[in-house]
Amino acid sequence: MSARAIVLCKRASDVALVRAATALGETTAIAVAKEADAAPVLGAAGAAGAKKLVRLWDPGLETTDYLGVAYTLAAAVKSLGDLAATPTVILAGDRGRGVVGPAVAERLGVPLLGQVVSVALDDGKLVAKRRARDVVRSYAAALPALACVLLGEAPAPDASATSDVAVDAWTLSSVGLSAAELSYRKHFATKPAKGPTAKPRRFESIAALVAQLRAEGLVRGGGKG
Amino acid sequence: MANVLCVVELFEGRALPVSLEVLGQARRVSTELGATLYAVVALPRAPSWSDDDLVAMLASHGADKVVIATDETLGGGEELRWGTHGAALAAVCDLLSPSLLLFGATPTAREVAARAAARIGAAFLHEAWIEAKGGALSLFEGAGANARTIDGELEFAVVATVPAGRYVAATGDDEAEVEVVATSGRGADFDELGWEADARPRALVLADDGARAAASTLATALGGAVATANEPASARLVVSLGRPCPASGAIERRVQLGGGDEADYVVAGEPAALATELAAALGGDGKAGGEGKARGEGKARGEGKAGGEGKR
Repeated sequence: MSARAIVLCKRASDVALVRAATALGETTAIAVAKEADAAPVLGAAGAAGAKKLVRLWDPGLETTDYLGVAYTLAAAVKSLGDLAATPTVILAGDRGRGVVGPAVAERLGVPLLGQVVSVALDDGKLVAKRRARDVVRSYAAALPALACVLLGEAPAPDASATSDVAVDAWTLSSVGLSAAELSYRKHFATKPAKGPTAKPRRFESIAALVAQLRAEGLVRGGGKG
Repeated sequence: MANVLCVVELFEGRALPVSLEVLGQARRVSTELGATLYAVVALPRAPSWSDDDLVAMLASHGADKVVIATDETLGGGEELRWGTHGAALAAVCDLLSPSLLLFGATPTAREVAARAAARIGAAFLHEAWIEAKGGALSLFEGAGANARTIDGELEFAVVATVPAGRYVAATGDDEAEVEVVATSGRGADFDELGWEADARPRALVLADDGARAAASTLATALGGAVATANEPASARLVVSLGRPCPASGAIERRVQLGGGDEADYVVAGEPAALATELAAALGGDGKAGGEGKARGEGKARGEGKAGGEGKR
């Protein structure tokens, strides 16, 4: 069974997500960003094989928070086609705050898996592997489903990468939203401020460090566990 | 009165240290704000005798009340995942309407905290600072000049993850009121198919040439490998001998032996000697590193529970 893939792009390095998505089905890349910021992201996505590129921006998004962006992305996903009618895999990067992907899954009401290291389609289901402590677990979900994929230390893509795929420029109204609907979220957005300084925890002995690492499941006796 | 909820993550039946650290800071903040502190733990069934130990432990680390969200579909799974734990957490949030919902910043808590925030329409802070002074709450993510803040009036809910090592655990009496919230009815979700060994090394040890022998011994004891500074580090644990630890989302914990500030945990001293001592502690009879010292650190003072309520 064929599926379509939608990649929620933020940075040019998300090209790794696009490459993973193209193996699953025809891929659309969406970026919520101003034109100057979206151009390299979507250029890299197109060069990596995305067949449809969507840039979505509206001045009303300037001050919104993660959930305003997630509402927008979820509306964009719905605008691309009925999720119930077309088997759809949605991929987002799992890095930094890592909040937008799960929020999109919540808005769409679809299964979610984070910390994913690989994705594949098997018998119409999304099969995803993720690290969990010292093992890699495999999971499967019927579509639609959303996976937040860990992006490793892959080299940055060629900044000059271009594609012949035209970029569709959407606004909030293109996806059935208005700036007024998102404006209340500006109160939830973080603002720059001088914050506390992070300092490492200092242990007075190796024994204390070992006890902490054992309790966290990071080491075991004899190093064989 | 505001409700502060602290979601407790388990490992082999015990709360993760980071969960107790978050609970400790939540205790201080709740005392300052006059809020009620709930420790929330998801279990497949209502408390048994062993779970009762868990309740006492959470109470002794500061919880006013312990909420046990039961869901038979959790099975024996301790690993946080929205598909397995989401319904239980959502039910608890519906019941208690938290002002603050706190998680330890573990890899598995990432998706759960984020989706929970979206579920309740909360603000979200990643690797946060939760501070209270003079009855006022200050909330940050990031650090120093690169930090960001959010209104701490708690006029809306805030969900935050807090990294390991940032705060110290609290102590108190071991009594708390227990509330059991039975949940069921998982929706469409990812089903687990199986597992395989992780091909990446369990740990990486970084060292200059002068300390390679000690690094090699330590790597063997950790079941890991020695890496050079130029290699991208991907392992749950990275131990650096004297040099700064690289930061990466692929690393769960960074330890620097010899001093410094570029790590999560630091032990001062001569790096190679510390590495040898650590290797011996790990390769011994399994009794090395008794719990006393680490747990002895981080006792907070003056952390009375709010309102004297919540006796079990």
